[in-house]
Amino acid sequence: MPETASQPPPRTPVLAADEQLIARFARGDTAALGELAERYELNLLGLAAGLLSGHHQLAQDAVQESWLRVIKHAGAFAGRSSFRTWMYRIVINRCRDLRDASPELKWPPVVAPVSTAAGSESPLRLVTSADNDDDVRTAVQALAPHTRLLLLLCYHRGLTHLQAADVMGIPVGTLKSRLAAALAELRTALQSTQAINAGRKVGTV
Amino acid sequence: MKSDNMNTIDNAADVERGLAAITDWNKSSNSPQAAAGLWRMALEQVAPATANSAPFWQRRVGPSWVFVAASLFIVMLITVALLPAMGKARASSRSSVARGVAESAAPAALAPSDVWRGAEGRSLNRQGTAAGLLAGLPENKGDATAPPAAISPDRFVIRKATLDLTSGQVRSTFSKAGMAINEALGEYIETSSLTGEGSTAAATITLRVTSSRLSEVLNQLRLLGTVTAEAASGQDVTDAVVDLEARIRNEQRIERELLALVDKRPDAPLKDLMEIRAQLAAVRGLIESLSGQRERIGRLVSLATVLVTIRAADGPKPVVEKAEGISEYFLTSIESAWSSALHALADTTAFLIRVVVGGIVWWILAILGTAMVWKLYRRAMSTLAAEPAPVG
Repeated sequence: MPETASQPPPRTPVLAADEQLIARFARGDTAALGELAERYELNLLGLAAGLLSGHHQLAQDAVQESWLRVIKHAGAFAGRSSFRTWMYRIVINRCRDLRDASPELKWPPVVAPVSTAAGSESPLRLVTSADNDDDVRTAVQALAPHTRLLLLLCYHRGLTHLQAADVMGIPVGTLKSRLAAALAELRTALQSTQAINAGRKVGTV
Repeated sequence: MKSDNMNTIDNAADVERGLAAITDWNKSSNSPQAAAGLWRMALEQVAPATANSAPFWQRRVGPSWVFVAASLFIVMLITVALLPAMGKARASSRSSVARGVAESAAPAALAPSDVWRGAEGRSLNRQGTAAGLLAGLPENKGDATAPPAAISPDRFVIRKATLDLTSGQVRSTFSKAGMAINEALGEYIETSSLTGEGSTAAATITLRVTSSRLSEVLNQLRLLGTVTAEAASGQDVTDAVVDLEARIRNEQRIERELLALVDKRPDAPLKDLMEIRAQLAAVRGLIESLSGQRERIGRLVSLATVLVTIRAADGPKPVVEKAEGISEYFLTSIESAWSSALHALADTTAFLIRVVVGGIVWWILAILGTAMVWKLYRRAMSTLAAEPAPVG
């Protein structure tokens, strides 16, 4: 009877849980912190930039200070929440502190110019979408802080609604109802923003 | 889910994309990769992980370790400082307990003295007794109604002396030593023995001499041969004498009160009289006992004890050590060092046992305190680590 060579299925590399990585870092494994940063740093920077009205330097400061706090308290991380929740809360709170303390945020945010080098979309489509993005950005800045935070968290690509609710410390049902209200506010703000922009365009013509 | 929420907004997809673009670092930043590595910059800023992964001799000493070390040091200091004091207290209480037991047992052991006759209305003048005994004179008996004399400020000391003599004529020296006493003063030979002959002859004699003549008798004895050893000691029993006299006075007062009670009520019922008589008998018995004890101490104080040991002058000579060579010196030194090391080890072990066992209460308190502080510290750190949910 010929032996059937049963090949074991190829093993997919198992990613260590965030909590395992932070525990490893607390024991002295700095590479574990690097893995965590690889997972979260860019997303956190994006969120921080959104919360800080597009001030990238302040966003970097907020994220770096958050890492400092993580490094300092890694040994005392008790796991009462997930590492993701903990980290996002740290970043959000640092952003709030910076926003309260920074006079720079009184000035208009710095918005990056539209890049036309990459992507397959036509230049016209890119310009249109950039205009829309700017309108949304302007409308979001006009919202109250808690509404702005809710919208940015929920539409941030790093978090699901469940995770966003965990970060906010509220039930997911509450989050959804608040999100509906926030979107209504955004729609109103967006309409007024678009009306103002349309008036400017007419004026310039 | 996100699309469902956007149905009520015009251009919902554009709005959704716009919201996502706000928090997209790659889209909003001019140089997305420039920000990478913030974690590394933070790590270089504090580098606690480096400290944790370093060998223990390179690690920074944290506040908790400093606290633990300080606690241990304080406990050790407390233990070392308190143990001698506690030892002294124990010894003091032990000696006082022993003295109390001896004093309470003494009256039972001593036979009642026939010198004092309190029941017959005669009493002993204690001042006279003490002075008389010290002087080796017959005691002075006074009247029971006389007030007790003041206590002498002199110290009451029981003296003892030993004297080792060598003599060419042991027997002759033994006889002369016996003649050093003065029987007219109440001095006497308590024990004596003479053994052997010639160079093996040896004698011991115990003399009881008046305390005031102790020096004189010792001088006489020293002239009888060559003194090879001499020792003297004294035991202060002033406290015991004062205590005994106070107790005697108290019992005498009770006796007088009982007698006065009988005199005042001659027509009292027979039952009452018998009861008072029984109490009188008990009080008088106690007075007898205490007086006997006082008399015995007085006798010991008044007569010093001298133990004389006499050996032949041409007896066996002590072995003279020969001059040792280098090898013997080496062996002796090694042996001595080994012995000293063992003693040091024993002392160290005893000290450790003393610190560990003697300070067990402090150790327990220190451990509990350390555990409590550590728990509070961990809780505080944990609270610090827990980031509050963002508000507003």
